[in-house]
Amino acid sequence: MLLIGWILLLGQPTAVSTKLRMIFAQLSTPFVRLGDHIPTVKSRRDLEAQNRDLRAANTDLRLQVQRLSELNRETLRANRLKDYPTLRTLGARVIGRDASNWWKSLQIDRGSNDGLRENLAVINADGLVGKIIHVSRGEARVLLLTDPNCKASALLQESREPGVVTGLDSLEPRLQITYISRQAVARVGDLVISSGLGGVFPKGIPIGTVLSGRLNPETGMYHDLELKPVVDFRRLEEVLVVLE
Amino acid sequence: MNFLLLLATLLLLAALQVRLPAIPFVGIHLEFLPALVAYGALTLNLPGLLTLALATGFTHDALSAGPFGVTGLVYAGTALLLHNFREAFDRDLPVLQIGAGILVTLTGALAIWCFAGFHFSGLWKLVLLALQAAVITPLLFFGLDFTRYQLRAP
Repeated sequence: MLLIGWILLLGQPTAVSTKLRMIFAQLSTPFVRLGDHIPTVKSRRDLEAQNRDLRAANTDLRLQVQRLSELNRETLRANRLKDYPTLRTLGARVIGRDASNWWKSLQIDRGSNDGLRENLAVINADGLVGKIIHVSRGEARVLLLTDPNCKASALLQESREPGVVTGLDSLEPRLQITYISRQAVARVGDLVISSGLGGVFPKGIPIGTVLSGRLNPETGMYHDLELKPVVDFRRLEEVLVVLE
Repeated sequence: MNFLLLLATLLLLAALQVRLPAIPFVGIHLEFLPALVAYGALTLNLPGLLTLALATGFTHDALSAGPFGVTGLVYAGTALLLHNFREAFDRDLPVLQIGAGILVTLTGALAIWCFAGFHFSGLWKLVLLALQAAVITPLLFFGLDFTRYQLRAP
């Protein structure tokens, strides 16, 4: 009973557990980063650096195109929005995945020293990646959108039908948007974007495309749509943290 | 020396665990840390194995999105259990090593599963984790015993 009580107590984040987590994360992070310092053939390193720079530039450009596309749609709907909010982002490299097979998270090489804090949105050129849940001085942990414990307010881009996106616990990275009205029109391939509600994720960031849908088996009042994420979560190397 | 070697192994294995990609077609990542806890439980004295189990669990939790501290406590409890029974077994038996590795892996996984949320696909994951523990644990026992012999650690 004492052990179970202790475990349940530790399940709740406290100042002590947060501090301990930071200490153990900082102790192990240099070893996690060791892989980056293993020497390789010089020309290959140059090529990798060039490749990284080009990917970062590509990321920025693709993000701009997506945002402009969403801006165009909003303008066409004669929305009052005159100026799409410019996102202030910070680039970060992925240095590790989750040590457990039961959570879906990533470790990035930026931390509180770079101005990061909890609940900042993380994106890449393709779309929404997740949000920051733990921050240490030189590293942070990102809970991926594919984790069932990560939820994002979203809407279907065509019909503007709102819902909540969450991860599905499956071998393939899959998402699900729930609370879609029974009257809503959704087709396979429709894009789902973030709605901006909730204050964590900025509006208009692509999340996934509709794969299939069914009536919610428990209530029968809403549709649940399965989504294919636009982000390739298995090949994430660089991400952007949205600072504002 | 013995304990320092295990601490260095812990940090290296933790780094490997978070950097290696998932096994193709299966979708799970290799977990090395439970095998280290099993090794400590069948090798070290009581304070040593408890310290190693807690340090391993805390490192695991620091590198995970789960609640901090749970894995450390579960690893320590399982290591204590193994320690109590180890007089009855021959630790050099691969079957015993495999059994210990699977036990630590499954107790740790079940504890985290409680917090991550139950799902049917988790059962398949448990089987796969047990299988990979059955392979990794005897290899780690062999590697660490060999290294200790080379270093002549007590």
